[in-house]
Amino acid sequence: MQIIYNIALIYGLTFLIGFLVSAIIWVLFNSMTSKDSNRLTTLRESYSEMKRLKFKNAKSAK
Amino acid sequence: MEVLYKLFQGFSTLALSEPVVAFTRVGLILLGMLLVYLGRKGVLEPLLMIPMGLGMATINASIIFLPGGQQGNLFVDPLVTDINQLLDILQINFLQPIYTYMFSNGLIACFIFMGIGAMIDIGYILQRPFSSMLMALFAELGTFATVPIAMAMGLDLKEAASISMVGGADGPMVLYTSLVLSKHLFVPITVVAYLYLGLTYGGYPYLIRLLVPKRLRAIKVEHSKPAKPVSQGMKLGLAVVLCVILCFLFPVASPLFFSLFIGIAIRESGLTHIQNFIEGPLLYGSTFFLGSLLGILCEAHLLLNPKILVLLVLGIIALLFSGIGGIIGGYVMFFIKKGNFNPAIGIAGVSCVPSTAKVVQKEVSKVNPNAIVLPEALGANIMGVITTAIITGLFVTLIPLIK
Repeated sequence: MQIIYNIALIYGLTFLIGFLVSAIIWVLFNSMTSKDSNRLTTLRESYSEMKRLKFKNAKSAK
Repeated sequence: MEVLYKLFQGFSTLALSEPVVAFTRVGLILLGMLLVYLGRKGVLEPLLMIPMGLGMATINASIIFLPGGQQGNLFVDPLVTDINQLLDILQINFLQPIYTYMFSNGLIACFIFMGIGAMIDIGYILQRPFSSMLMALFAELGTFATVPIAMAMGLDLKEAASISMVGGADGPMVLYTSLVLSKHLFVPITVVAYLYLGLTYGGYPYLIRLLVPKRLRAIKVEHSKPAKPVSQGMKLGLAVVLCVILCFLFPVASPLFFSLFIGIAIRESGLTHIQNFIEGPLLYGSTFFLGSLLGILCEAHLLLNPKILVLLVLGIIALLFSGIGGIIGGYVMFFIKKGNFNPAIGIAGVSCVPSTAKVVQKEVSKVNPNAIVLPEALGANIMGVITTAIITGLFVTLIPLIK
Protein backbone atom coordinates (compact mmCIF):
# COMPACT_ATOMS: atom_id res chain seq x y z
CA MET A 1 0.00 0.00 0.00
CA GLN A 2 2.85 2.33 0.92
CA ILE A 3 4.44 1.78 -2.48
CA ILE A 4 1.23 2.71 -4.32
CA TYR A 5 1.11 5.89 -2.25
CA ASN A 6 4.75 6.72 -3.06
CA ILE A 7 4.29 6.04 -6.77
CA ALA A 8 1.10 8.13 -6.86
CA LEU A 9 3.07 10.90 -5.19
CA ILE A 10 5.78 10.73 -7.87
CA TYR A 11 3.07 10.80 -10.56
CA GLY A 12 1.60 13.89 -8.90
CA LEU A 13 5.05 15.47 -8.82
CA THR A 14 5.45 14.69 -12.54
CA PHE A 15 2.16 16.51 -13.25
CA LEU A 16 3.39 19.47 -11.20
CA ILE A 17 6.77 19.67 -12.94
CA GLY A 18 5.14 19.07 -16.32
CA PHE A 19 2.78 21.99 -15.90
CA LEU A 20 5.61 24.12 -14.53
CA VAL A 21 7.60 23.43 -17.71
CA SER A 22 4.49 24.25 -19.80
CA ALA A 23 4.02 27.48 -17.86
CA ILE A 24 7.65 28.44 -18.49
CA ILE A 25 7.20 27.75 -22.21
CA TRP A 26 3.95 29.73 -22.25
CA VAL A 27 5.41 32.75 -20.43
CA LEU A 28 8.57 32.81 -22.57
CA PHE A 29 6.67 32.38 -25.82
CA ASN A 30 4.06 35.01 -24.97
CA SER A 31 6.66 37.50 -23.83
CA MET A 32 8.52 36.98 -27.10
CA THR A 33 5.45 37.33 -29.30
CA SER A 34 3.50 39.96 -27.34
CA LYS A 35 2.94 43.41 -28.83
CA ASP A 36 5.21 44.86 -26.13
CA SER A 37 8.20 43.62 -28.06
CA ASN A 38 7.06 45.88 -30.90
CA ARG A 39 6.97 48.76 -28.45
CA LEU A 40 10.72 48.81 -28.33
CA THR A 41 10.85 49.28 -32.10
CA THR A 42 8.12 51.92 -31.91
CA LEU A 43 10.00 53.76 -29.18
CA ARG A 44 13.23 53.53 -31.14
CA GLU A 45 11.47 54.83 -34.24
CA SER A 46 9.84 57.73 -32.40
CA TYR A 47 13.20 58.58 -30.84
CA SER A 48 14.82 58.77 -34.29
CA GLU A 49 11.84 60.79 -35.50
CA MET A 50 12.22 63.17 -32.55
CA LYS A 51 15.94 63.54 -33.28
CA ARG A 52 15.22 64.20 -36.94
CA LEU A 53 12.63 66.91 -36.09
CA LYS A 54 14.96 68.46 -33.53
CA PHE A 55 17.71 68.63 -36.11
CA LYS A 56 15.29 70.08 -38.67
CA ASN A 57 14.02 72.71 -36.20
CA ALA A 58 17.54 73.64 -35.22
CA LYS A 59 18.43 74.04 -38.87
CA SER A 60 15.35 76.20 -39.63
CA ALA A 61 16.03 78.36 -36.53
CA LYS A 62 19.43 79.21 -37.93
CA MET B 1 32.16 -38.01 -35.15
CA GLU B 2 34.27 -35.66 -33.06
CA VAL B 3 35.61 -34.04 -36.23
CA LEU B 4 32.07 -33.41 -37.40
CA TYR B 5 31.22 -31.93 -33.99
CA LYS B 6 34.20 -29.58 -34.26
CA LEU B 7 33.46 -28.73 -37.87
CA PHE B 8 29.77 -27.88 -37.49
CA GLN B 9 29.84 -26.26 -34.08
CA GLY B 10 26.52 -24.49 -34.52
CA PHE B 11 24.74 -27.85 -34.69
CA SER B 12 26.94 -29.60 -32.14
CA THR B 13 26.42 -26.90 -29.51
CA LEU B 14 22.69 -27.24 -30.13
CA ALA B 15 22.82 -31.05 -29.77
CA LEU B 16 24.95 -30.89 -26.61
CA SER B 17 22.94 -28.12 -24.91
CA GLU B 18 20.30 -28.69 -22.27
CA PRO B 19 16.85 -29.10 -23.89
CA VAL B 20 15.63 -25.74 -22.54
CA VAL B 21 18.58 -23.90 -24.11
CA ALA B 22 18.27 -25.83 -27.38
CA PHE B 23 14.54 -25.15 -27.70
CA THR B 24 15.04 -21.48 -26.79
CA ARG B 25 17.74 -21.15 -29.46
CA VAL B 26 15.51 -22.66 -32.13
CA GLY B 27 12.57 -20.52 -30.93
CA LEU B 28 14.68 -17.35 -31.09
CA ILE B 29 15.94 -18.19 -34.59
CA LEU B 30 12.33 -18.53 -35.74
CA LEU B 31 11.32 -15.36 -33.88
CA GLY B 32 14.19 -13.48 -35.53
CA MET B 33 13.01 -14.59 -38.97
CA LEU B 34 9.46 -13.58 -38.08
CA LEU B 35 10.66 -10.10 -37.02
CA VAL B 36 12.44 -9.63 -40.35
CA TYR B 37 9.27 -10.69 -42.17
CA LEU B 38 7.02 -8.39 -40.09
CA GLY B 39 9.49 -5.53 -40.48
CA ARG B 40 9.54 -6.01 -44.24
CA LYS B 41 5.72 -6.08 -44.32
CA GLY B 42 5.60 -2.83 -42.34
CA VAL B 43 3.68 -4.36 -39.42
CA LEU B 44 6.63 -3.59 -37.10
CA GLU B 45 9.14 -0.73 -37.33
CA PRO B 46 11.44 -1.97 -40.15
CA LEU B 47 14.39 0.28 -39.28
CA LEU B 48 14.84 -1.54 -35.99
CA MET B 49 13.22 -4.90 -36.60
CA ILE B 50 15.12 -6.04 -39.70
CA PRO B 51 18.64 -5.74 -38.19
CA MET B 52 17.31 -6.95 -34.82
CA GLY B 53 15.56 -9.98 -36.28
CA LEU B 54 18.55 -10.98 -38.38
CA GLY B 55 20.88 -10.45 -35.41
CA MET B 56 18.64 -12.62 -33.20
CA ALA B 57 18.50 -15.45 -35.74
CA THR B 58 22.24 -15.25 -36.48
CA ILE B 59 23.53 -15.22 -32.91
CA ASN B 60 21.50 -18.28 -31.93
CA ALA B 61 22.80 -20.16 -34.94
CA SER B 62 26.44 -19.24 -34.37
CA ILE B 63 27.21 -20.55 -30.90
CA ILE B 64 30.65 -22.13 -30.75
CA PHE B 65 32.86 -23.90 -28.22
CA LEU B 66 35.25 -21.46 -26.59
CA PRO B 67 38.60 -22.51 -25.05
CA GLY B 68 37.72 -24.23 -21.79
CA GLY B 69 34.71 -26.02 -23.24
CA GLN B 70 32.25 -23.20 -22.58
CA GLN B 71 29.74 -22.14 -25.20
CA GLY B 72 29.92 -18.61 -26.54
CA ASN B 73 30.06 -16.46 -29.67
CA LEU B 74 32.36 -14.16 -31.62
CA PHE B 75 30.04 -11.16 -31.55
CA VAL B 76 29.74 -9.72 -28.03
CA ASP B 77 30.00 -10.66 -24.35
CA PRO B 78 27.88 -8.25 -22.32
CA LEU B 79 28.58 -9.92 -18.98
CA VAL B 80 32.35 -9.42 -18.85
CA THR B 81 33.47 -7.25 -15.94
CA ASP B 82 37.18 -7.96 -15.52
CA ILE B 83 39.25 -5.25 -17.25
CA ASN B 84 41.96 -7.59 -18.58
CA GLN B 85 39.39 -10.02 -19.90
CA LEU B 86 37.53 -7.11 -21.49
CA LEU B 87 40.70 -5.94 -23.27
CA ASP B 88 41.15 -9.43 -24.71
CA ILE B 89 37.53 -9.68 -25.77
CA LEU B 90 37.64 -6.23 -27.42
CA GLN B 91 40.19 -7.66 -29.82
CA ILE B 92 38.18 -10.80 -30.58
CA ASN B 93 34.45 -10.03 -30.58
CA PHE B 94 33.68 -7.72 -33.47
CA LEU B 95 30.67 -5.93 -31.94
CA GLN B 96 32.27 -5.65 -28.47
CA PRO B 97 33.73 -2.14 -29.13
CA ILE B 98 30.29 -0.83 -30.09
CA TYR B 99 28.69 -2.49 -27.03
CA THR B 100 31.36 -1.28 -24.59
CA TYR B 101 31.96 2.22 -25.93
CA MET B 102 28.52 3.11 -27.25
CA PHE B 103 25.77 0.91 -25.85
CA SER B 104 26.50 0.22 -22.18
CA ASN B 105 27.30 3.87 -21.44
CA GLY B 106 24.20 5.21 -23.18
CA LEU B 107 26.09 7.03 -25.98
CA ILE B 108 24.03 5.37 -28.71
CA ALA B 109 20.85 6.49 -26.89
CA CYS B 110 22.18 10.07 -26.85
CA PHE B 111 23.00 9.92 -30.58
CA ILE B 112 19.44 8.78 -31.30
CA PHE B 113 18.12 11.61 -29.14
CA MET B 114 20.22 14.14 -31.08
CA GLY B 115 18.73 12.77 -34.30
CA ILE B 116 15.21 13.04 -32.90
CA GLY B 117 15.92 16.62 -31.77
CA ALA B 118 17.16 17.55 -35.24
CA MET B 119 14.00 16.10 -36.80
CA ILE B 120 11.30 17.61 -34.59
CA ASP B 121 9.67 20.98 -34.91
CA ILE B 122 8.84 22.44 -31.49
CA GLY B 123 6.61 25.13 -33.02
CA TYR B 124 3.34 23.51 -31.94
CA ILE B 125 4.35 22.93 -28.30
CA LEU B 126 5.34 26.59 -28.05
CA GLN B 127 1.88 27.66 -29.19
CA ARG B 128 -0.13 25.17 -27.13
CA PRO B 129 2.11 23.81 -24.38
CA PHE B 130 -0.62 22.94 -21.85
CA SER B 131 -2.76 20.71 -24.07
CA SER B 132 0.30 18.85 -25.38
CA MET B 133 1.63 18.39 -21.84
CA LEU B 134 -1.73 17.19 -20.48
CA MET B 135 -1.93 14.37 -23.02
CA ALA B 136 1.71 13.45 -22.49
CA LEU B 137 1.18 13.25 -18.72
CA PHE B 138 -1.85 11.00 -19.08
CA ALA B 139 0.10 8.83 -21.49
CA GLU B 140 2.56 8.06 -18.69
CA LEU B 141 -0.12 6.08 -16.83
CA GLY B 142 1.57 2.79 -17.77
CA THR B 143 4.91 3.91 -16.36
CA PHE B 144 3.41 4.41 -12.92
CA ALA B 145 0.72 1.71 -12.89
CA THR B 146 3.27 -0.99 -13.76
CA VAL B 147 5.51 -0.35 -10.72
CA PRO B 148 3.18 -1.90 -8.09
CA ILE B 149 2.19 -4.67 -10.52
CA ALA B 150 5.86 -5.51 -11.08
CA MET B 151 6.47 -5.59 -7.34
CA ALA B 152 3.49 -7.90 -6.88
CA MET B 153 5.11 -10.17 -9.49
CA GLY B 154 8.29 -10.47 -7.43
CA LEU B 155 10.61 -7.70 -8.66
CA ASP B 156 12.24 -5.28 -6.25
CA LEU B 157 11.49 -1.55 -6.49
CA LYS B 158 14.52 -0.63 -8.64
CA GLU B 159 13.85 -3.47 -11.09
CA ALA B 160 10.15 -2.57 -11.14
CA ALA B 161 10.92 1.08 -11.90
CA SER B 162 13.33 0.10 -14.68
CA ILE B 163 10.87 -2.15 -16.53
CA SER B 164 8.02 0.32 -15.95
CA MET B 165 9.91 2.90 -18.02
CA VAL B 166 8.83 0.86 -21.06
CA GLY B 167 5.48 2.64 -20.54
CA GLY B 168 7.17 5.88 -21.59
CA ALA B 169 7.98 4.15 -24.90
CA ASP B 170 11.28 5.93 -25.12
CA GLY B 171 14.11 3.49 -25.76
CA PRO B 172 17.00 5.74 -24.67
CA MET B 173 15.25 6.49 -21.36
CA VAL B 174 14.64 2.79 -20.61
CA LEU B 175 18.26 2.07 -21.44
CA TYR B 176 19.44 4.86 -19.15
CA THR B 177 17.14 4.03 -16.22
CA SER B 178 17.97 0.32 -16.24
CA LEU B 179 21.70 1.17 -16.45
CA VAL B 180 21.43 3.31 -13.32
CA LEU B 181 18.86 1.37 -11.29
CA SER B 182 19.30 -2.31 -12.19
CA LYS B 183 22.40 -2.98 -14.20
CA HIS B 184 22.03 -6.77 -13.82
CA LEU B 185 18.76 -6.63 -15.82
CA PHE B 186 20.02 -4.02 -18.29
CA VAL B 187 20.27 -6.38 -21.26
CA PRO B 188 16.86 -8.14 -20.93
CA ILE B 189 15.03 -4.91 -20.09
CA THR B 190 16.54 -3.07 -23.08
CA VAL B 191 15.77 -5.97 -25.42
CA VAL B 192 12.16 -6.18 -24.15
CA ALA B 193 11.76 -2.40 -24.44
CA TYR B 194 12.95 -2.13 -28.04
CA LEU B 195 11.04 -5.25 -29.06
CA TYR B 196 7.85 -3.70 -27.75
CA LEU B 197 8.57 -0.24 -29.18
CA GLY B 198 8.37 -1.92 -32.55
CA LEU B 199 5.02 -3.33 -31.48
CA THR B 200 3.47 0.10 -30.83
CA TYR B 201 3.52 0.57 -34.58
CA GLY B 202 1.47 -2.58 -35.05
CA GLY B 203 -0.61 -2.69 -31.86
CA TYR B 204 -1.73 0.89 -31.17
CA PRO B 205 -3.97 1.22 -34.25
CA TYR B 206 -6.16 -1.55 -32.79
CA LEU B 207 -6.26 0.20 -29.41
CA ILE B 208 -7.38 3.44 -31.10
CA ARG B 209 -10.10 1.61 -33.04
CA LEU B 210 -11.22 -0.14 -29.84
CA LEU B 211 -11.40 2.93 -27.61
CA VAL B 212 -12.33 5.78 -29.97
CA PRO B 213 -15.53 5.39 -32.03
CA LYS B 214 -15.39 6.25 -35.74
CA ARG B 215 -17.49 9.40 -35.25
CA LEU B 216 -14.95 10.86 -32.82
CA ARG B 217 -11.94 9.64 -34.80
CA ALA B 218 -13.17 11.69 -37.76
CA ILE B 219 -13.14 15.00 -35.86
CA LYS B 220 -11.12 17.75 -37.50
CA VAL B 221 -9.57 20.09 -34.94
CA GLU B 222 -10.43 23.74 -35.56
CA HIS B 223 -8.53 26.41 -33.65
CA SER B 224 -10.52 29.52 -32.68
CA LYS B 225 -7.44 31.78 -32.61
CA PRO B 226 -4.97 31.78 -35.50
CA ALA B 227 -1.56 30.44 -34.54
CA LYS B 228 1.07 33.06 -33.79
CA PRO B 229 4.04 32.89 -36.15
CA VAL B 230 7.04 31.25 -34.50
CA SER B 231 10.43 32.30 -35.79
CA GLN B 232 13.50 30.05 -35.74
CA GLY B 233 15.16 32.47 -33.33
CA MET B 234 12.30 32.02 -30.83
CA LYS B 235 12.51 28.24 -31.07
CA LEU B 236 16.27 28.37 -30.56
CA GLY B 237 15.97 30.70 -27.57
CA LEU B 238 13.31 28.56 -25.94
CA ALA B 239 15.26 25.36 -26.58
CA VAL B 240 18.32 26.83 -24.85
CA VAL B 241 16.32 28.12 -21.86
CA LEU B 242 14.36 24.86 -21.50
CA CYS B 243 17.51 22.76 -21.69
CA VAL B 244 19.17 24.78 -18.94
CA ILE B 245 16.06 24.70 -16.71
CA LEU B 246 15.53 20.93 -17.15
CA CYS B 247 19.23 20.26 -16.48
CA PHE B 248 19.00 22.37 -13.32
CA LEU B 249 15.97 20.34 -12.23
CA PHE B 250 17.38 16.89 -13.13
CA PRO B 251 21.16 16.82 -13.57
CA VAL B 252 20.99 13.00 -13.65
CA ALA B 253 19.13 13.09 -16.96
CA SER B 254 21.13 16.02 -18.35
CA PRO B 255 23.00 13.97 -21.02
CA LEU B 256 19.63 13.10 -22.54
CA PHE B 257 18.28 16.65 -22.25
CA PHE B 258 21.47 18.03 -23.80
CA SER B 259 21.30 15.54 -26.66
CA LEU B 260 17.65 16.33 -27.44
CA PHE B 261 18.02 20.10 -27.23
CA ILE B 262 21.30 20.28 -29.13
CA GLY B 263 19.49 18.55 -32.00
CA ILE B 264 16.71 21.15 -31.80
CA ALA B 265 19.24 24.01 -31.49
CA ILE B 266 21.15 22.87 -34.57
CA ARG B 267 17.93 22.57 -36.56
CA GLU B 268 16.78 26.05 -35.55
CA SER B 269 20.21 27.65 -36.05
CA GLY B 270 20.11 26.82 -39.72
CA LEU B 271 23.29 24.73 -39.55
CA THR B 272 22.07 22.60 -42.41
CA HIS B 273 25.24 20.56 -42.91
CA ILE B 274 25.34 19.46 -39.28
CA GLN B 275 21.57 18.92 -39.22
CA ASN B 276 21.79 16.71 -42.29
CA PHE B 277 24.58 14.74 -40.65
CA ILE B 278 22.71 14.31 -37.34
CA GLU B 279 19.31 13.39 -38.77
CA GLY B 280 20.85 11.28 -41.52
CA PRO B 281 24.02 9.24 -41.03
CA LEU B 282 24.20 9.66 -37.23
CA LEU B 283 20.56 8.78 -36.51
CA TYR B 284 20.25 5.99 -39.06
CA GLY B 285 23.71 4.62 -38.28
CA SER B 286 22.94 4.55 -34.54
CA THR B 287 19.53 2.94 -35.12
CA PHE B 288 21.13 0.32 -37.34
CA PHE B 289 23.84 -0.56 -34.81
CA LEU B 290 21.33 -0.47 -31.96
CA GLY B 291 19.01 -2.86 -33.80
CA SER B 292 21.85 -5.21 -34.76
CA LEU B 293 23.29 -5.18 -31.25
CA LEU B 294 19.89 -5.78 -29.64
CA GLY B 295 19.40 -8.78 -31.91
CA ILE B 296 22.85 -10.09 -31.07
CA LEU B 297 22.09 -9.70 -27.35
CA CYS B 298 19.09 -12.02 -27.75
CA GLU B 299 21.29 -15.06 -27.26
CA ALA B 300 19.48 -17.96 -25.56
CA HIS B 301 21.95 -18.19 -22.64
CA LEU B 302 21.52 -14.48 -21.90
CA LEU B 303 17.76 -14.44 -22.19
CA LEU B 304 17.21 -17.54 -20.09
CA ASN B 305 16.95 -15.35 -17.04
CA PRO B 306 14.05 -16.52 -14.82
CA LYS B 307 12.82 -12.92 -14.77
CA ILE B 308 12.57 -12.57 -18.56
CA LEU B 309 9.01 -13.90 -18.78
CA VAL B 310 7.93 -11.48 -16.04
CA LEU B 311 9.65 -8.64 -17.93
CA LEU B 312 7.90 -9.60 -21.17
CA VAL B 313 4.49 -9.52 -19.46
CA LEU B 314 5.24 -6.25 -17.64
CA GLY B 315 6.50 -4.54 -20.81
CA ILE B 316 3.24 -5.17 -22.59
CA ILE B 317 1.20 -4.12 -19.52
CA ALA B 318 3.16 -0.84 -19.35
CA LEU B 319 2.59 0.00 -23.02
CA LEU B 320 -1.06 -1.01 -22.87
CA PHE B 321 -1.75 1.19 -19.83
CA SER B 322 0.15 4.09 -21.40
CA GLY B 323 -1.90 3.81 -24.59
CA ILE B 324 -5.14 3.73 -22.56
CA GLY B 325 -3.90 6.66 -20.44
CA GLY B 326 -3.09 8.65 -23.58
CA ILE B 327 -6.59 8.12 -24.95
CA ILE B 328 -8.07 9.14 -21.57
CA GLY B 329 -5.97 12.33 -21.94
CA GLY B 330 -7.43 12.77 -25.42
CA TYR B 331 -10.96 12.47 -24.00
CA VAL B 332 -10.13 14.99 -21.24
CA MET B 333 -9.04 17.44 -23.97
CA PHE B 334 -12.21 16.57 -25.93
CA PHE B 335 -14.34 17.64 -22.96
CA ILE B 336 -12.21 20.71 -22.15
CA LYS B 337 -12.48 21.89 -25.77
CA LYS B 338 -16.21 21.06 -25.81
CA GLY B 339 -16.00 18.51 -28.59
CA ASN B 340 -13.51 20.35 -30.79
CA PHE B 341 -10.72 17.81 -30.29
CA ASN B 342 -9.97 14.39 -31.67
CA PRO B 343 -9.51 12.00 -28.69
CA ALA B 344 -7.33 9.66 -30.78
CA ILE B 345 -4.56 12.30 -30.64
CA GLY B 346 -4.06 11.43 -26.96
CA ILE B 347 -2.23 8.20 -27.76
CA ALA B 348 0.50 10.28 -29.45
CA GLY B 349 1.46 11.36 -25.92
CA VAL B 350 3.23 7.99 -25.74
CA SER B 351 6.57 9.36 -26.76
CA CYS B 352 7.68 6.94 -29.46
CA VAL B 353 8.70 9.81 -31.80
CA PRO B 354 7.37 9.95 -34.47
CA SER B 355 5.74 6.46 -34.70
CA THR B 356 2.71 7.14 -32.47
CA ALA B 357 1.99 10.50 -34.16
CA LYS B 358 2.14 8.78 -37.54
CA VAL B 359 -0.16 6.00 -36.27
CA VAL B 360 -2.74 8.59 -35.11
CA GLN B 361 -2.68 10.47 -38.42
CA LYS B 362 -3.01 7.20 -40.34
CA GLU B 363 -6.01 6.06 -38.28
CA VAL B 364 -7.72 9.46 -38.49
CA SER B 365 -7.12 9.69 -42.26
CA LYS B 366 -8.81 6.31 -42.73
CA VAL B 367 -12.13 7.69 -41.43
CA ASN B 368 -11.74 11.31 -42.55
CA PRO B 369 -9.12 11.99 -45.23
CA ASN B 370 -9.52 15.77 -44.74
CA ALA B 371 -8.63 15.76 -41.06
CA ILE B 372 -5.00 16.72 -40.44
CA VAL B 373 -4.09 16.08 -36.81
CA LEU B 374 -0.35 15.59 -37.25
CA PRO B 375 0.70 18.96 -35.69
CA GLU B 376 -1.34 18.25 -32.53
CA ALA B 377 -0.12 14.65 -32.44
CA LEU B 378 3.53 15.69 -32.83
CA GLY B 379 3.05 18.29 -30.09
CA ALA B 380 1.87 15.58 -27.68
CA ASN B 381 4.65 13.31 -28.95
CA ILE B 382 7.42 15.82 -28.24
CA MET B 383 5.97 16.67 -24.83
CA GLY B 384 5.96 12.92 -24.23
CA VAL B 385 9.73 12.90 -24.70
CA ILE B 386 10.07 15.73 -22.18
CA THR B 387 7.77 14.04 -19.60
CA THR B 388 9.60 10.72 -19.98
CA ALA B 389 12.88 12.55 -19.39
CA ILE B 390 11.35 14.19 -16.29
CA ILE B 391 10.21 10.78 -15.00
CA THR B 392 13.67 9.32 -15.69
CA GLY B 393 15.13 12.09 -13.56
CA LEU B 394 12.55 11.51 -10.81
CA PHE B 395 12.98 7.70 -10.80
CA VAL B 396 16.77 7.79 -10.84
CA THR B 397 16.79 10.29 -7.97
CA LEU B 398 13.84 9.21 -5.82
CA ILE B 399 13.55 5.42 -6.23
CA PRO B 400 16.85 4.68 -4.40
CA LEU B 401 15.57 6.82 -1.49
CA ILE B 402 12.32 4.84 -1.06
CA LYS B 403 12.66 1.99 1.42
